[in-house]
Amino acid sequence: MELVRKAQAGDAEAFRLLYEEHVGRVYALCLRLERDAARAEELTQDAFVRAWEALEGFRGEAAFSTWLHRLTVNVVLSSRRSLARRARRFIDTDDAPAPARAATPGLAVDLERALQTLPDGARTVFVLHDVEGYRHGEIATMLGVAEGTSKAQLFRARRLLREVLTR
Amino acid sequence: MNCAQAIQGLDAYLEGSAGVPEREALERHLAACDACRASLGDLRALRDAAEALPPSLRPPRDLWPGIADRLAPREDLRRGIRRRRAVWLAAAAVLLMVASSGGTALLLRRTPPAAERLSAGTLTLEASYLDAARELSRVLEEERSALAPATVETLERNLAVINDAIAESRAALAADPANPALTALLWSAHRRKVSLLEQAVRTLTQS
Repeated sequence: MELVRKAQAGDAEAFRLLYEEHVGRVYALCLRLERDAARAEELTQDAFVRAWEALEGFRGEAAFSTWLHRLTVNVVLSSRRSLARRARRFIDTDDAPAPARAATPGLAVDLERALQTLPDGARTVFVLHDVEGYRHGEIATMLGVAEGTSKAQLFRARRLLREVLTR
Repeated sequence: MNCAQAIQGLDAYLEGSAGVPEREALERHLAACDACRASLGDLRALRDAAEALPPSLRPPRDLWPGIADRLAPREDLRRGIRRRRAVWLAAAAVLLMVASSGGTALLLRRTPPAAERLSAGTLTLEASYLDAARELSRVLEEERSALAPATVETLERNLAVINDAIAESRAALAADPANPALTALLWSAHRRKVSLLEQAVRTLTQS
């Protein structure tokens, strides 16, 4: 909390130390929510800049990591929405085809690769629920969907992942 | 219970959220069905694999320089927050003025005023509401990324409904300018719009 207090007071060096401590977690979340490694790097940077801007509002009611994590999810989802708005796409991005190959060549774990083949909606819910431990109610609020939709997306994600992993 | 029903119930069973009758029925089915038992095993393995993913992954390059370049000095950020608060207070003051003067007077009038006077009053009062809404919308647009996507979505959905209501009331009032019920409907829709925007801005300034 000492680093957080210093960063709240404007100490950029303290904020750099917070970055060092948390960047791996933030990057992992961005990478799993997005399919593109370069995009995940951008979003990680956006999340830390946004955290710096919002830091004074952090009152320590939750752990800093929890707060930062939630803020990162918001940054990713918000960016996804504004990209879709800019592209003026009226198709359901959930049905957009998955990339032909995984965009994270450094990751050897099968599940990481399989995750990248999922459609956006299913992947987002799987990552938030099964990897990050959010509940359906929280996910529904974050995504602005019904809780049942979150459950259905998770069911779909697990089914698709099992298919990919058992191929 | 057949296999399709069993597959549908496996997620809830695994998470422990299935009710007692569903759990017992599923367990009876699993005891007799190798395929569904295998599916449950796959689901368990998937859940365990997800939980075992490393919570942290080092990015391939140092991202800090790109972040450091974008960190505004704390004092500039505070000035920004103060400015937003000032804008919000100014907008709130406009609202108060509207509510305490012309708006109330117009809304409380028992007899419909002459069409010409109502028309002029309508335009003046509406301009005040529009000014307030415009200022609040500008702040929200600038700070859009600070709001949760679900909040933005709800806000946009509600604004669309209110804007439709405003458009309908205006059209009806243009055809029947002396109608006090239509006037009341128009002000009510404007008030709802400003109040909604005001709430969203308050969320921002308190975050």
